[in-house]
Amino acid sequence: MLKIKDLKASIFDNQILNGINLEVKPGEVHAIMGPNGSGKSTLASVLAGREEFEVNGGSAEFLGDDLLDLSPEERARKGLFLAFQYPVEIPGVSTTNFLKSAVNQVREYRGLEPMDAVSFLKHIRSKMELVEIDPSLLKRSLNEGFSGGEKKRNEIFQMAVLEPKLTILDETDSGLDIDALRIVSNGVNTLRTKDNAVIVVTHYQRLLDYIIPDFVHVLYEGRIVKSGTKELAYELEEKGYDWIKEELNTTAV
Amino acid sequence: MIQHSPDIDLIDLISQENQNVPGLLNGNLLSGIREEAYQKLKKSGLPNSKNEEYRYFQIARKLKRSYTFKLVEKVDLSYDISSKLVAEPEAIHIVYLNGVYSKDHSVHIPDNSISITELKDDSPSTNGNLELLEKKHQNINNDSYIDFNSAFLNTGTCITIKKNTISRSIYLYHFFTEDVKDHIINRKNIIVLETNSKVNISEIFFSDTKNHYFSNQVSEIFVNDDAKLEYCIIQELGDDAIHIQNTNIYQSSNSLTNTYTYSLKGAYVRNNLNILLNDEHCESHLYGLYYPVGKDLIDNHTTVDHRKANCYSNELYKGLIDDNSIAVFNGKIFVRPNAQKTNAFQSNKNLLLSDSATINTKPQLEIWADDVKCSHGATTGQIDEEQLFYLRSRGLDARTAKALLLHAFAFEIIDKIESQILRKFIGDKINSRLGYQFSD
Repeated sequence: MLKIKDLKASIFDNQILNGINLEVKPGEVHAIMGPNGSGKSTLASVLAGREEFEVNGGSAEFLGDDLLDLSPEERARKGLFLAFQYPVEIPGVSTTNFLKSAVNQVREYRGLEPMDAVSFLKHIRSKMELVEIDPSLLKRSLNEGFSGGEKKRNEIFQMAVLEPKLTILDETDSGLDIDALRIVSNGVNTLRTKDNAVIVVTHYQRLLDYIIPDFVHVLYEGRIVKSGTKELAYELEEKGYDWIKEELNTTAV
Repeated sequence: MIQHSPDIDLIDLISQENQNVPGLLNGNLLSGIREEAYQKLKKSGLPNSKNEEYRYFQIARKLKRSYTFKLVEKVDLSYDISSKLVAEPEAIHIVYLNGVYSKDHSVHIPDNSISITELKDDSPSTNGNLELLEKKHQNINNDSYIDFNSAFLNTGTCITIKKNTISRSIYLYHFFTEDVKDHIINRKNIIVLETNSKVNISEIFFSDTKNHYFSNQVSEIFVNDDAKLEYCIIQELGDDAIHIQNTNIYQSSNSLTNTYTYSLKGAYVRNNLNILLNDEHCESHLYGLYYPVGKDLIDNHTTVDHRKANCYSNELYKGLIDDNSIAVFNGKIFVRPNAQKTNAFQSNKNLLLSDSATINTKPQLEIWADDVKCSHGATTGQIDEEQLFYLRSRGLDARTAKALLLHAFAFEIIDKIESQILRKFIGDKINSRLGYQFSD
């Protein structure tokens, strides 16, 4: 589904990604872990299409198309979804209002009829229950006055409504307590099918107890330096990121 | 189209002793008022570049031309207003074409609690209203366009809402057609809300003619004790229209006014809104939205004058400025020495939508009392890129996402209106300008 080859990207003359290689197939969950500054959020941003980053090498293919050639909305319509680490507040725009527009623009792109108000409400009702989100929150301005947990649940709610093929969770666990973590993870897990895939970007192993990855990759200085199964996450938690740095230095020598 | 040739040079008119101008209102009381105003005008002249209040609204050169003061009496019955009226069946709709009342286009509902009369030479109602104006008028606004309006008055309307009335809505439509070419319309509206009355009054100014004209309106509005006024102004004017509107609102104790000014289009639009709180326990809310495009110039000057204690005023003006247009905002708040326990707040927010759009904004607070709560703030920015990216990352194309954000920005001012019908009327205009197609 997603093929990233030797991807390089920079921002303001700082080279952040130094050749990422990653392949994600339908049905898989990949975790990307790494110390601060390793490029985790940059990778997520570049895949989603943030224009501040300059891609200066490599390629990324999504469902057979050149991902880097597509605008952010085209990527979303093809089925890419980014759950933001810090979801922005938009006063005056309600979640339901903008989501309905988004759903219908995505449907139009896929050659489907738009949903009317009634069908849309039915569609989102079950999703609301899934992430245990209060319906009144959805009528309010997007993320305005929401707690950290509510913002993250709102991200997963939108994911549920939009039914993407590839979801990137950008440090979705940051700032969450155990309950919120449980709800968010449950939502993600329930939405998994054999046709979609998830990339979980996280600093800590804790989330991966709830969203169990098929593959774990360690990002360091803009490269994936180690890949493994979920056991790798436990090793990292035990030994810390310094262990990786030492291993690399040893190898280099 | 009626052919005429404008024959009176405006600047000459003011400087010379020539008052025999065809088309002006006359009458014993009126001529006294006109003469006094004329003398003041001769001394002051119209605002020039040295006048701070008109620094960014320079039309002196544009006014150096000939005008006609005689209004087009014959109303063009073929003018189609069907889509231009607000859909409120129980309201009174008064239509003026090029400054002249059109009975055929208007919708009148007989109502004893409201009096609506035209300013006419020497009629008792005219004189009654003029006497009231002289008695209650306070010098809260030294604008020489007011003197110009009085000196060369050619039309006006008086509205009185009788005491204790909860009135039906009143809509005054000012339509300007091709026939208004090179005309000056000096209109004076005198509006009185008697004790404990309530009314929604809206003035809708619309012209899509490319012809030049100068509309100079003065509204003197008296809101008596316990009365409540909702006053809405909507301006959508042509590419060579000059529109200056001085609105003076005098509030008495325990009264409430909510004013809404929507300036959506016009070559030169200048609003001077002045609120005098000369009694205790008054409340006043001023809301404005300006959205100039093309080469428009829209200038909003407001003044809230707190002269007595325990009053509350709150002002929020927002601007969307596009293309090469220019917007100006100056909000003055005066809190006089006796106005203790005043709460006065002001906020101005602007979004620049193009590289060549300009906003000049100046909050101005002058506070002489010491037990008050006052604040002001002005922001100018562009569309938030984070918000734009968030919406696009959900599948909305850039244009739709932008329309959604601008809609949210503008609708904070539209949502303040009490009347749902009026909210829809203005909301539809803004939405169509933004290309915003979603139903909420």
